[in-house]
Amino acid sequence: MILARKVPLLELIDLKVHFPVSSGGFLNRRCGIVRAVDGISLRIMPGQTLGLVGESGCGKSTLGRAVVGLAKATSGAVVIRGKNIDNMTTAEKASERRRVQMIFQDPYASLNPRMTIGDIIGEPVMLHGLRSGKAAVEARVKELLELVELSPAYADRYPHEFSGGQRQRVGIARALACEPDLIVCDEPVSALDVSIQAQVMRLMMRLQKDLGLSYLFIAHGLGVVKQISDEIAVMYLGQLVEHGGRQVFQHPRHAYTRALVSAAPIPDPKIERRRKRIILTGDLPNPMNPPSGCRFQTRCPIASDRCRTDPPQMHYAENRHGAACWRTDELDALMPMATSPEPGPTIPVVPQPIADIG
Amino acid sequence: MTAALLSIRNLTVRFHGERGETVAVDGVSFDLNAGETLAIVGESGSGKSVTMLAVMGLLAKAGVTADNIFGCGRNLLNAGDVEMRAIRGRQIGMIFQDPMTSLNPVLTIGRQLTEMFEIHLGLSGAASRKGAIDLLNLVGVPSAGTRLKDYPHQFSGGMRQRVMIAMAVACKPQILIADEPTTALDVTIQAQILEILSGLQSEFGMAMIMISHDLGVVAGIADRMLVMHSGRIVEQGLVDDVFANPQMPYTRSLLAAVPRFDLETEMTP
Ligand SMILES: Nc1ncnc2c1ncn2[C@@H]1O[C@H](COP(=O)(O)OP(=O)(O)OP(=O)(O)O)[C@@H](O)[C@H]1O
Ligand SMILES: Nc1ncnc2c1ncn2[C@@H]1O[C@H](COP(=O)(O)OP(=O)(O)O)[C@@H](O)[C@H]1O
Ligand code: SF4
Ligand SMILES: [Mg+2]
Ligand SMILES: [Mg+2]
Repeated sequence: MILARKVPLLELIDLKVHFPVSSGGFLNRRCGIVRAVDGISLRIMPGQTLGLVGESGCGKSTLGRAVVGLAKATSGAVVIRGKNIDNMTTAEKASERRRVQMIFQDPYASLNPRMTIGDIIGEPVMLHGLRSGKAAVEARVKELLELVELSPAYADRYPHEFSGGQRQRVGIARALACEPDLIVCDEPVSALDVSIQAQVMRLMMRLQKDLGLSYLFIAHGLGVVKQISDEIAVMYLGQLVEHGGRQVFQHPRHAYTRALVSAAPIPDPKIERRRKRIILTGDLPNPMNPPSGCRFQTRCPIASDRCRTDPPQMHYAENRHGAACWRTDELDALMPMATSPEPGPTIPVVPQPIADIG
Repeated sequence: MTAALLSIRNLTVRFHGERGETVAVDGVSFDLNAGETLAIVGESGSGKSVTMLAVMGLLAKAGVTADNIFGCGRNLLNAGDVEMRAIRGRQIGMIFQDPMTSLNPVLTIGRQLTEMFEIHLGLSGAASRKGAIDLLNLVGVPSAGTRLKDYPHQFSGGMRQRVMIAMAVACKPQILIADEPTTALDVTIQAQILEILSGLQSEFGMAMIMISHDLGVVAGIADRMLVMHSGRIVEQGLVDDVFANPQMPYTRSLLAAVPRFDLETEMTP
């Protein structure tokens, strides 16, 4: 194995992104810090996809924005191809940044309504000097449109003339215009109907194969994440709680992931009927004031005393499946998987679901 | 065999806009039986919400035609505004996707709940306050007594949706119509809300119409389903039959498009 192949394309080392927030209003006092991303380490190898799941507000978008430089890291490092972005020269930084692009959930809000599709896609080509001369840029735009399976004739049209799925293709073409190695995809299909979603997913998977791209694929839908990802990371309140391959959904090692997987609906009435859901009580805690110990302890059905005081660290099993949970080894007994193929031993230590209901 | 609670025949809804006439709902017919959960699925713009708004009398009368809309023992097609408003409060409860648009932002949660009891059931102040607290407890709002004086913006999305459910079921309606009640919510909160809905349904013996684009949610909660496409019902049947053996190509493609996290299958690009 050649050493160079082992250098991750992206590495995050104990990354923190904190936002000071103020009360607003007359006094506008600073009243706290939102710890949107609070100590995350992970890596993405060339040509690979890391799927990132978690509930709204857990910090997924902030993490993605920090990777592309849209949010400033409070501490920790963003390392691209082995080099810390903070230690790069301005020129190096610009060229590395170009190679890390982002696509967004709402392709409409992120496309300038007064620019033609051709200008939207052509702008980064010119800006980064990837082609010179009007004709060459135009030819490149047509090429990019074809790459995302849109007609080159669309170059003269405006974003409002397109459907949601087509706009997302334009967003992808704009990202590809920069000739990136890594694309941060922030909920790229969440706003689309399932059939359009399937088309866009298929396109993204084909592009990855043809161009050797890496993706940081952010979504809250477990199905799309599993479909596209080589590795899956689960976030809760600014931190990673679990990380690994497909086993993350098949056999979660963290209590939160078990609850998440058991609550995610499965489009099969027969399976749904015999599933046992782990229903969590309460809402996601305020990230300004995260719980002590394990951040999931306020909602965890099996939290112990240690969970309330000591923060668990990420521990990897031999199959490189990691979880930050004190009770990982007891999960099969305490929170049996809801969709085990054969009815396994069920020891209902899980407290009454929604105990606070009359 | 009892008659259907709700019976709709050949419902058509037209809108007149700048670009001429759109037929949003095109000859829709279906029944809702007592105690059952009927799901309506279909892509965005297929006419799911408009169908239910028309049934509830919430659209301009001029655009709505039907051979028959029969519900709660009467002809809803000819019912006047006052009559429809009473039916909507008492016999048919409604929950919408975004609770912020259906809760009044300048009234406390307590005021909005007690109003339901005072207007529709004619209860006194004290009795309706007690009713409001009981209801909030029922839908899992913690410390209900103290939260009555809060305003909607002081509640999280999941809590607001619980309040909406509480208001919708306050008068123990025969029919509950829920339009994408969990679409804006996270999976773990969605699971709480769906659990509450099925709990209330068996407790009150309500029939429910659940509009959803999430086939997983439908598989988990519904007995029967309608598949809508371009304003028409293209397929209907028991959930088990439709999922296991979809008859129409459209339904088949819809089911095939959902990626599964629970199976070891892979999609070929
Ligand atoms: N007030 C209105 N005026 C004009 N057209 C309307 C109006 N309300 C709805 N429509 C149109 O009617 C059609 C059906 O809309 P409807 O809201 O029922 O869709 P839906 O199936 O509920 O979609 P979604 O999944 O996005 O909620 C759409 O084409 C919509 O644009
Ligand atoms: N610019 C900002 N200022 C203050 N708080 C922010 C800012 N951006 C995000 N947050 C907060 O950080 C947390 C994580 O947000 P986000 O990364 O958008 O979550 P997700 O994408 O997982 O839904 C949330 O509590 C959010 O309100
Ligand atoms: S560490 Fe404790 S509280 Fe946290 S998920 Fe594991 S068991 Fe639950
Ligand atoms: Mg986000
Ligand atoms: Mg709708």
